[in-house]
Amino acid sequence: MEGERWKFVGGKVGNVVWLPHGRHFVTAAWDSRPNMVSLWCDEPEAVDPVAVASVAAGSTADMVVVDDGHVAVLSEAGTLSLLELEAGYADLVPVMVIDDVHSGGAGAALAAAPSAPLAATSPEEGGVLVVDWAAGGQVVAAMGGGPLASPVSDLAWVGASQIVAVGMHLEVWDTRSASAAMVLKDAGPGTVVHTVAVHPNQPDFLATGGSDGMLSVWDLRSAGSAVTKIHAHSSDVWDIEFSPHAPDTVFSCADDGTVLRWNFNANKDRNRSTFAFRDDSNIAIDQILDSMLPVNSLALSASDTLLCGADNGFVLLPGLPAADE
Amino acid sequence: MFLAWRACWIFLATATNLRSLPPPRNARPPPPALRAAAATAAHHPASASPLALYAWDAFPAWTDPLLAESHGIFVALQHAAAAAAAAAAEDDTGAGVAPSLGETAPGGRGVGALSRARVVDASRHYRATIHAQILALKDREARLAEALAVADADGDTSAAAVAEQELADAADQSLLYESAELIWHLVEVFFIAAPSSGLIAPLLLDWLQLHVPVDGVLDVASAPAPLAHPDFWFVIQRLVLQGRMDTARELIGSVTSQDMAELDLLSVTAEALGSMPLPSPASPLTEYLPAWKAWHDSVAAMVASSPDVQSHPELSNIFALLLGSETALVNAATSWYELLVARMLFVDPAVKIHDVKSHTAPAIAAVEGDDPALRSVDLVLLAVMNRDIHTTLRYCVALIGSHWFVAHLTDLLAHVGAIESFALGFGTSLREFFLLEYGLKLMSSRHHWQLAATYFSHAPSLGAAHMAALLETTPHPTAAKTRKLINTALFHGLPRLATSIRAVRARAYLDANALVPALSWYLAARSPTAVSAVADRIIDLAIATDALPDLHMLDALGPDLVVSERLAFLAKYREFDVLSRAGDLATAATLLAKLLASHIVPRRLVLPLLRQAVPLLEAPDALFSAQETYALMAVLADVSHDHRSPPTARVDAQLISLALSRNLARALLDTPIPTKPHLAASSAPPSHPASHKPPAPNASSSVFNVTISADRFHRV
Repeated sequence: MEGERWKFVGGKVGNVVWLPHGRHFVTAAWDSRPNMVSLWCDEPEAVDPVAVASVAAGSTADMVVVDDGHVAVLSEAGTLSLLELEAGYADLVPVMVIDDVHSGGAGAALAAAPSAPLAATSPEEGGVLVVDWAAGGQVVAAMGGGPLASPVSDLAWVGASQIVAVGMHLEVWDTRSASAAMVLKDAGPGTVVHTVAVHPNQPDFLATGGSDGMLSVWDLRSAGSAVTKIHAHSSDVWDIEFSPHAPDTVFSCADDGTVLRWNFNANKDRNRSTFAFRDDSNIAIDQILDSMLPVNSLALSASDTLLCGADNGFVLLPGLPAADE
Repeated sequence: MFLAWRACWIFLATATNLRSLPPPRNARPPPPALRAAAATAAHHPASASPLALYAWDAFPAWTDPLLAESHGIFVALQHAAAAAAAAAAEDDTGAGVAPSLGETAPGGRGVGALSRARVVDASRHYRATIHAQILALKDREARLAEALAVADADGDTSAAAVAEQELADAADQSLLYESAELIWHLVEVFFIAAPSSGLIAPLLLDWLQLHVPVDGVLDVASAPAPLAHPDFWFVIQRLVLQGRMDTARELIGSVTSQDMAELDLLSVTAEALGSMPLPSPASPLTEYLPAWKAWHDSVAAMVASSPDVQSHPELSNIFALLLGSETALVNAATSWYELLVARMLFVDPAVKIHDVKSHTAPAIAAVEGDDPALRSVDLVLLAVMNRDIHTTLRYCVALIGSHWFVAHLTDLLAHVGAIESFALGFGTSLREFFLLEYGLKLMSSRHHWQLAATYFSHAPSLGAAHMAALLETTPHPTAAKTRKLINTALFHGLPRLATSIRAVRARAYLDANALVPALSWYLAARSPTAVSAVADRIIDLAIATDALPDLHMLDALGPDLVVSERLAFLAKYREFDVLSRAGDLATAATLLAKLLASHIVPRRLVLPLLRQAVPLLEAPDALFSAQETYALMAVLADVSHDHRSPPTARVDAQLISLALSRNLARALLDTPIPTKPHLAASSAPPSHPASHKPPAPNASSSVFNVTISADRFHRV
């Protein structure tokens, strides 16, 4: 692939995020020894990303960007840490560490609120907590949970007050009423939804990836089943990302080591948003990457640079082929 | 299997005495300053401290890039081999020939199907990763040296001691990796690339130039007057000896001198160097040999006719080298293998790959004397040059450890057919033995389980057993890791193992009192008894906390419902609960009647469920048909005759019985009179509502064990 770059990070890369300005990214390791959260600088003129700083944070379950100067990391052991990027992105320092945030539950998912210093966090066993960074990491809302809760694999904020939790099905929680506003049917018997991403412009649309290798599109306005389901990968889909500039384009990565790019409007039909409609002739799929080991996490920078974190210990920055004309 | 390991270790055991070899002998005569440096550079890590050997084996964090990159090369090579074997098999079947050997050979799928060039390519990639590792170690050494200097400057003795120890370790490590690179490359020359023409000189020259650097070239070249530099002639001699003619010529050409005669002599020398034909893989021996002979004769004639050259001590030495003078070569060489290659350049350019072994002993005798004290590395190099692959591998195991290095090297050798691909006396091929060894070593650091799985998966006979052991012992504290283990197990055809891994995860959730995740994992594990047990706990808890409607996961169970009766009950009972909350009482009543009559209700819940039916029975409209009411009566009779029921149950039963009777009266009145005579004729009145009769063939509902004849009312 033209322009493909890679960098050995060390350990298994469980999560990657770009910082908003797009010149630095952060990687977090899982199931490794030691499990480090590392800050990298990727200047446009540089050949390879350069390691800036790193800090140990336990095997990572999820990581999110809080704002320009902070990232938050949830460890599998249930420790929630807020890391500050100090001194002009020269260092990475834990400024807030909340141990055992889920009271014994294993950390599973973390999502940052779009416009407030809030984070939603879930244990694998289910239930959603909302943590307020401004109030010293205090829990301001607790929704669901208990022995009869459904397991959660990923979270996403929809607007300022709704949180989508996916696992065996999709639950939409509302922080104002602390109750499940809506439950959408799951992907099918025995399957687990691993990851969810919200459409950048039309927040009613969600894309999810599941253990059956399916890419599904959901419309929150029509409670029911997924509006579109496409067989994507041959194995568990671990992450899905919308392209910030071309939201008809979705990237997905999977346990089989593949990264795919989906263009839901391959015909460049300007008259309608074709995202939600299953129209095979209008979907173009490119394989961006085929790694030997699972690819766990994707991130797209503001300039559409794709970053992939894999179990082989590398971050890969594949050059994206031009979309088919 | 134990015997197999034992046998193989006996095979390897003879190598252990290598470690007790004496340290290298400093055999060189006192050289100028740089000569000493060159000798050290050529001196390859003979017996690095024992610590180094262990550190190589234990996969510390800084070996991660090496492990990851070599894993990538390994997998790509196996894929290419499988594809090549598949293509070959296709061709063969097309031609009506039996499938290719590679498919069925115990050496592994596709072993032997690859082109030599592809394997050489992989070998170069491996060498590149070793080299990257050496560079990283040198980097680390530099940083540690800095830290040591800082600690020394601060007077911090404890920090200095730590830094010193780490520095020594890092130095040992890089020496070890340098020998690994040296040995790997030579094995590549003799066994993997093994040119069909048999002409070995070009490859050996490459090998020498890559691993034995000539130091001081830059120092001399950047000196204001190179000729005046004390090491000028020494550097030229080293360059010539290694066949680096272009560099030597440039260095000579850079000389400025007032002495025109000397300049003339130098330019003659440069010309002689520049005109020397060097061996290259592109030129066949039939072209190279005459060219070399012509060059040799012309240089010899020139020296003979030039008294100036003869009287110039340094130049005469250089020309003696060019003409292959034994004394000059031996004096210039820093190691026996340097002499060996120099002889191929200047004395006998036609040495074939098979002849090399007859040239090693004279070279060693010339450099080391009659009683050579060879270092471990020398022994390995000798074994390679003698084309004795088994001794080579044995020595490598002793020197470098049996894991990373030998596993990948043996795999390459198997792909080019340099070692036996059939099973040896101990049950596996050598390739498989070393792959398993490496995989086991990887297993010892738990987080390398994915890498270990790959190597096991390419071991055809014992790999599956190792894979099962690996996946069984790898802890999986999270759902995501469990999925990865399961995917690996399924991919390698171990579905039973996948099931047991799921059960382990389910049990962990159950212990954490997370009932829904536990239920879903037990369902995936197809464990009906465990599913029933968890479903029972969920039923009690959901009823106690009035949480039935929140159990959304039950909506999506589909075919999984039949795994366990309890689960089916739970799902149906939740459906009833949701319907009655929604006010759809008629559907709820039908569902409840079916549920109670179907005998999947846990005994402890029969009476409470009947009690829940009372408000429905007393509803203004008759929600239960006569048939359904009879069914409920049967269920009630069953449960009220149970001596285990508590005394309060009797009161309840009377109330329920009353409600049922009242409902029956209304339901019977509502029941339409059948008009079809055969319906009435085919059914007889039941003697007792609780009697269990087979359903009538034409009865509308066959779910119930009680059949009600619709005309009973009219006959009575």
